Amino acid sequence: MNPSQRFNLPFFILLGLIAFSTLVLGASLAGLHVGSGGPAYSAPVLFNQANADAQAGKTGAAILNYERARLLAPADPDITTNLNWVREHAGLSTTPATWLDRATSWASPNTMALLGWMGLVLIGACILAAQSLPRFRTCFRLAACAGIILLALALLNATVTWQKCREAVVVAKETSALISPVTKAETSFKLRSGEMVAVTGHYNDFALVQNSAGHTGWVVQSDITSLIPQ
Amino acid sequence: MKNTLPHLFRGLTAAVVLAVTALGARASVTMQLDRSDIGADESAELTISASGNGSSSIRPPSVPGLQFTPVSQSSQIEIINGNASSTSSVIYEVTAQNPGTYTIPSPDPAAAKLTLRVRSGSGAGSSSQAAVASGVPSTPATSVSPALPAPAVSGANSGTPVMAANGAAFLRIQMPKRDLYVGENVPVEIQVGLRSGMAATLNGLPSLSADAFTLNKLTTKPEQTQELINGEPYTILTWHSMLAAVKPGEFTLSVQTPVTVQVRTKGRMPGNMGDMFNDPFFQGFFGGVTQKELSLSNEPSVVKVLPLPTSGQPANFSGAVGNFTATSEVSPLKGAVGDPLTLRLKISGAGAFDRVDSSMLSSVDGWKTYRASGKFVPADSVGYRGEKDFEQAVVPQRPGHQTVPSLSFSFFNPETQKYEVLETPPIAIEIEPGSGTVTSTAAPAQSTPVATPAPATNGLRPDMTETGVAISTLRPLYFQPGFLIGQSALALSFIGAGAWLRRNNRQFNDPAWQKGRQELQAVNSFLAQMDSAATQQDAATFFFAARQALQHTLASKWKMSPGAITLAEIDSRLNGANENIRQIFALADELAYSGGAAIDADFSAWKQTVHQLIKETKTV
Repeated sequence: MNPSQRFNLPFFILLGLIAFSTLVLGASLAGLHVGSGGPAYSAPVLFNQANADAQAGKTGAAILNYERARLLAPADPDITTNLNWVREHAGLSTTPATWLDRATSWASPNTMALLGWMGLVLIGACILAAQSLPRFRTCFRLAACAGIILLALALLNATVTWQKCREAVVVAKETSALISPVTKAETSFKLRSGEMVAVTGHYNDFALVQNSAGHTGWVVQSDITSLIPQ
Repeated sequence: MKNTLPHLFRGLTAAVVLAVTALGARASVTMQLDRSDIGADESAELTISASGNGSSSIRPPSVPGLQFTPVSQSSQIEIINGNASSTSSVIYEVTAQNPGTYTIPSPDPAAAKLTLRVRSGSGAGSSSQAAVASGVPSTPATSVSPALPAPAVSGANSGTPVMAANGAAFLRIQMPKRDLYVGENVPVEIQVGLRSGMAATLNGLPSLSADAFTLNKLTTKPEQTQELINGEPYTILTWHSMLAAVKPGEFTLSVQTPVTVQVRTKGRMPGNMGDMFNDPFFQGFFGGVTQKELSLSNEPSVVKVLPLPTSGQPANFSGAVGNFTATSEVSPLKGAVGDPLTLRLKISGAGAFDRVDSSMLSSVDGWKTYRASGKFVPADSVGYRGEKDFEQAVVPQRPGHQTVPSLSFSFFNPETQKYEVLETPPIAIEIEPGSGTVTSTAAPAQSTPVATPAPATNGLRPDMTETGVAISTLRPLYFQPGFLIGQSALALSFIGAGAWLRRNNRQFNDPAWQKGRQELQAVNSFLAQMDSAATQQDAATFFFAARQALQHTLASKWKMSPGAITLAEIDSRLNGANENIRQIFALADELAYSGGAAIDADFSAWKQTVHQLIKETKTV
């Protein structure tokens, strides 16, 4: 194999992989397109809706919509301010953001997914290019490191977002967490409107939830709404 | 015996009324219809009341075409200082035989006549059973204000009343326009009408049934007025609010509010007791009232919401949508270097004041500026009209004739459908030299920092005017199977391609691999030469190339030089095991020594043999 052959082969492999990846990404982004009559989510619309809910005294719906808006625009100070204001006025505790939240929540999960894709392409391109052009190996390694950082941030964000997939907001005025998933079961603890819970299981019309204090109990599913609709 | 008891009660009551009224000398009679417009299959209620000492017995009026059936009657006796007076009332159910307009004369010639219009068919009008309202204060029909026209239903409102509970109640919403912009606030009036004289209870505030709009600053206490609608007196409860659209598109606007109305019923009792208590007298006496919960809603109307145009948007546009004017002033107009002056910007008008914001002056040469503070003074109950004042402390740094630069405020005007920029004129100030140093000037007390954008009065940041990019799902790309599979495949492909390239590079840099590759290339070259010679029937070249191919193959296998592979070496190594190789070597030598004499050889068979030998040698 002569040097020109050695250069061409990985080059074409690289082009092919990037084209394939771009196609996959394009198809995924097309899936986010709002169809006619389907649901449509945007941070400003959710924020405005939450404002209206807050003014109407619907604490649970307001917090749900603020949280959803924050999911799409985590760096927006207006959303965070109003969310904290509603929480405080409802007597709900505001959990301070962890370092992991702060490190990964400067962009929306979709933006972080795109950055992760870019990191992956960068890493792959640099690895293949470094095989063909050893003279620029240092440059490629540096670029690959940047790609690794992007990919790591995306993976951390995915980890945080994965936890949010299980979260739900109590939208009923008040609901009882029962010790078993039957209507006549004894109440374990009470949940207030707007409280965030982690859903860990389902049984018929009941959901097994865990509150911020770590207590678990069964609540009627209609009393809570998932942060990220299934 | 069956009808004895009702007649006995009726007779007893009538006797009491007659006995009392006989004591009086003069009576006054009033007459009242519960509605003036009914369908042909409906009935109205006529109440005739006789009051005063000695009021005469009540008789139904005689109107051709109308039938008066007594429904209930009541009486009240008062004795004051020995003078007895009585008030008696009889309610008649009025039914018409034919549609038309009927005039009902009053027994008292001095009183006005009543008019009853009977329409063909049944209308949304009314029923003699449904009655509204005293959960909210009601006003007697006699004190109702002069007849007003039916609720205005102009092109710009959705105020068509949809009657509920047989005309007992309705809800309508009045708004000035149906085309809105995102972020625009429109004052709306939500009106609930309850027919006077009936009992109803409101169970909650009006609310929107769609999520495309928000009702902001809904007044909690409704205004109460009276209105005649189709000749019927209604108590109108009016809430004021501001309607805002949260996203562009065409949406149906519908408002609803829950009410409980009390409906009088004509229930039937079983058996003989039932016959007795089904008598209209007892129906009226015992009430026969049931509560009915309703959700009042207006006639849904389509509202078009437009996005704010992106072209021509000023750089300092903060999302204010409406119609505003701006003025500025400085006080005092004379000062000294280092003395703080107050710069005021007043923005007044109508619109979304939540988004009216101004950072005033930032850094201006010759002036030290502080952060501005804003205060909104509403001119109406919902804050649609008003004035927002911004104050900023500015400190002159240089003496002499100075100028406070102009201030700028931009907004989107829905009427002109354009962005407008207001510029206040510069203000000239005379500044005298100060005694103190400029840098030591203390910040004025009123220069409280204001975050941008300013929080709304209720503590919530105002609505956003931009609608952002909408997506169909909140589930992030990470967790969508297509994206996940695609990116995993990409990662695996990169890993595979990298590993393959690495392996290739390693081989390429391995001398043994390089040598083996060269040997292979040489063998292939000789085999190609051999095949060509076979085609040309050139025996000398054929066997020479065949020997060379075998020499290179065996040399690679025995780790020797191809030149060292001789017949003797082959004999010693193969120990006579392969006769074909010996024959090829022998023929090659023979042809070389004989000068390429022609021999009769089966090239096809020899070619196959050589290929087979090389293949076996490599395998071994």
